[in-house]
Amino acid sequence: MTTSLGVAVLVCSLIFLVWSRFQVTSVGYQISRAKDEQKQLLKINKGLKIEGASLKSLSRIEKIAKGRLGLNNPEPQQMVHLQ
Amino acid sequence: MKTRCSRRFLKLRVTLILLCFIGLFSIIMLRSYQLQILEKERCTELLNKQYRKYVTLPPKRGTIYDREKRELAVSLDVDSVYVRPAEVKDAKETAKKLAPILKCSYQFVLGKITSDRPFVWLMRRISPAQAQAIQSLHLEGIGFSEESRRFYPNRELASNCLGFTGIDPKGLEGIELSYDRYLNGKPGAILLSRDARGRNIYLTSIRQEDATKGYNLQLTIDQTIQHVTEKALEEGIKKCRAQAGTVIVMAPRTGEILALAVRPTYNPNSFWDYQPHQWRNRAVTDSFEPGSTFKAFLASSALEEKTTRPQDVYFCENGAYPFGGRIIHDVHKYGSLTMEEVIKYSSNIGACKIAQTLGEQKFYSYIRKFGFGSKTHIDLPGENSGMLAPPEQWSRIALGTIAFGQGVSTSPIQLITAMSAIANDGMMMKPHLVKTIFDDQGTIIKEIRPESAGRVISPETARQVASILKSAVEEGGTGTQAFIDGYAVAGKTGTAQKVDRETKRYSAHKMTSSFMGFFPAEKPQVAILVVIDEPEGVKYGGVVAAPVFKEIANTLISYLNIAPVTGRLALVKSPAPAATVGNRAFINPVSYQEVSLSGGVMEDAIPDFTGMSMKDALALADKCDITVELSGSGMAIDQSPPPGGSFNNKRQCWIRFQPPLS
Repeated sequence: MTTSLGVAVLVCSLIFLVWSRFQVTSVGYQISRAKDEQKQLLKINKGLKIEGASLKSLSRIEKIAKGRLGLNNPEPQQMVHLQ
Repeated sequence: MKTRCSRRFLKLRVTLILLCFIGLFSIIMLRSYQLQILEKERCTELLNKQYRKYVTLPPKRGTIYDREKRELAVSLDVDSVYVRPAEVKDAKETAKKLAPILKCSYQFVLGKITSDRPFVWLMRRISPAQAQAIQSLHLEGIGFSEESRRFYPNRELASNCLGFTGIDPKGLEGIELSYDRYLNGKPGAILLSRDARGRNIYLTSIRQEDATKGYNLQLTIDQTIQHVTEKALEEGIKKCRAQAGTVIVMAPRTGEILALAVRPTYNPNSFWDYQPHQWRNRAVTDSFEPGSTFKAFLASSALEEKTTRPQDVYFCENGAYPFGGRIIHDVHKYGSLTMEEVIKYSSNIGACKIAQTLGEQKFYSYIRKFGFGSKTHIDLPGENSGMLAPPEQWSRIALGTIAFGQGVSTSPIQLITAMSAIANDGMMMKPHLVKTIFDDQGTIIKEIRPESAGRVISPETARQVASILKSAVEEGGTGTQAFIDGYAVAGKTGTAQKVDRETKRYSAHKMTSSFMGFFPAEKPQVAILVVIDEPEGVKYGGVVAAPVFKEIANTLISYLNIAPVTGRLALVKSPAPAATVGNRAFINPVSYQEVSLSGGVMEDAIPDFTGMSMKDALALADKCDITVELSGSGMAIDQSPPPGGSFNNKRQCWIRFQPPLS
């Protein structure tokens, strides 16, 4: 009876060991995929930041302001200095 | 009987199964012993080859920001595509598919694919769209490697200053080069586990050494000022069809460079498409003969040594003065001029005579003190120290010519640094482009504080020179085109002949026109130097460079919120003084007289706003405590209630403006 119990515990332990190893590997894959995804998202984020910086370029904004919106630099007499 | 037999059989079966398990387990144990202990070395090596992957992580380069933390240079990881020719099955078909995506010729791609080498780069740093297109083809033998690529989102903006990086990525020019050790991170490495299909598995026990990102730089350059400066320079060059140009905007009290514009320029995102001379930062690498701008330093030296006073009179020989075996000429013929007028009207003969009062040794020592002939040690590569021979090597005419900036050469950065010393009460500051170096967490690694380069002249002399330079921008002076209504501008023009490379003599047509100045003259916030190389048509610095100065200064007034001079004086045209004194030249056909805004205004009467600019009208209304309503733009042409009357209940006035007729 004791032997059978011992064998059962041993088998269970082995099964648990194999299961836990499998889980570790599986989580390892998940981490790998998540890391790749994170890398991709960071890359996209950086790309968007660069695009944002390019769109904020003063020469572009000035072109739109003057060309499309018809804005102009203020004349000296149009400026009021507040002390 | 039957039960006893089956029990015995059961025991036998259990024993047999147990033995079977023990046997199998023993085989496993023995095999494990063989693999783990007896053949450990060989197996570990085999395992590492199949199961482990050593990946080098490229270093990440720090970002370059302007003084307001707006990105000027950033790095992004992009793919580079390579080919392992031995693994390619159909070279022709592969080349046919890749050529249009890579925008290369079919022959070029085929040549790479059929190479004898085991590994060939097809193209470095391709765009994400290109990488995706190639990946979707699932071609054999074609692979990707990630590399860092530098992007300059503002394209040409400050490119000569920023420089660029190579493929490694190491800085090759500009700030990218001079701060490479801070910007460049350290490469890292990661030991990954991978399965039979080559997929990566992250395990906690795996060693990883992250690539460190380089530090970020915060420059002293202001993107907006830089843009304004570049635009003004571009227009200035276009107007006079010049070859090149440089503008430096500096904060004289700190030595911070607020803008540094150079033309011709290039787009650092594709620097390889431009000629190397377009990459050059002419503000530090090139030197030129400064011409009359140098008279500001002559005046500073002579006033500091007290060999002359602003009111001392010099006879300017009516335009021709024999000196050192040659004749020195003035552009306009002058009789007697005071020392102040010599600078204001930019008389070469007068300058020559002031230099004589100073003597060679003293003049030389002051020129050196102003930093000419030695590097400013600005944080940019390739700085030129200019050319200044010691007095022992000077020719007989040298003292006279150096007095008006010929026979000496200086870089634009030296000139603006020296000018800033006058603006900063005689204290010279070391010019610099980087404000702070910090990491991604915002921790400051290094802060570059304003550093003094020594006192050149006393504060009293500096203020005297500033006052003289102010007159050079006022009516009658050579720099009137830099005059800004309501602001005291101190400045000096310069027009220097260039040496013709073919004849080795001064050219009659090739000139360097310049204007350097600072404002507000009493409490300078900004010093600006404009250098225009080889303009066509009218070549005078006052005509070519001064308007560029004015354009930049006008924008800076509103951007930096520089208030007009307190108790501002309006300029009103008045007849010029009718007589001349002795044989002094008569120069001003019309002069401007300063008239106080508050002059003649009665406390309770409604003032006359007509003829005033909007700014003047507002100032007057403010002084008289009147609430005004404005319409239109230009000069005031109408007002209600009319002038002279009295207010009813409210002190309110409506003023209509109209642009003046040209």
